[in-house]
Amino acid sequence: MGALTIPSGTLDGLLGGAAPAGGGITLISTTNYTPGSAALSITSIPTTYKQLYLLWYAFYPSTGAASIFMRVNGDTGNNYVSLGNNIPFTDKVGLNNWTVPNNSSNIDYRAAAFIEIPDYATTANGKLIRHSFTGIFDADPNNNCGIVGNHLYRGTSAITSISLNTGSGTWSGGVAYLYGGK
Amino acid sequence: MTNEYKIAEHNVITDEYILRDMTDDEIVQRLKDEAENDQKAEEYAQAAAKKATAEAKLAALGLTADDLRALGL
Repeated sequence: MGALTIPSGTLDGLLGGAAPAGGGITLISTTNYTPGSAALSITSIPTTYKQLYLLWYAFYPSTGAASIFMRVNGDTGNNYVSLGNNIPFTDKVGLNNWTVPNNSSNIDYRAAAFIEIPDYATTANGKLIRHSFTGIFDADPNNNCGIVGNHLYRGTSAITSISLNTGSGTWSGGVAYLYGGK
Repeated sequence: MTNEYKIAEHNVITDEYILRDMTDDEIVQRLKDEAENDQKAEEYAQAAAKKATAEAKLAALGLTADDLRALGL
């Protein structure tokens, strides 16, 4: 069998498609936790991207084994639903699933999350919120928490703020990187 | 009501941080969130206690959870 030879020109041409317009991911902001805050709100998010990516690292609350959660646009109504069967709307994303330790001694045993919100700026419909979350408990590994899930936020306004909340106590550590994708 | 709760806001355009007191409405919501958190913690504690009790009963019979899994239970 001979070697594959690609003729001159672009692969797009070979595949019959057009070159993608735009593309790329931009770091919008780096948000550090603020001591003494029960909620950390990332505000004035520009609506000029197609999707948002939030990387949330090494965060932990001041109290032990607290549930944490997020909201968008300061919306505390029952406008969030985990995708599945017969699941009611709730007023937040994460609580009852996202549990983190208050381990300040070892960064390897803190929590991390990756959250994607495609088409976050649309005003035509709700938004899908995809999340991967881990909480690691060195004191009792049986409490380790790993969640991959999807939520639907049914608000129709563009998402311009995201709040990260402790269920108990205040933030004692963590950093959030917000990226915009085009 | 004592305003003991704070919200940190980070404006990504100006890179300005503000640490402010919660409003009365936000405190009401916060108390609701904390109650939900506490309820969940209690449910976890009860589930852990039930698990420990069941494991102790198994151990008294000379069995482990692995034995039950081996039986397909």
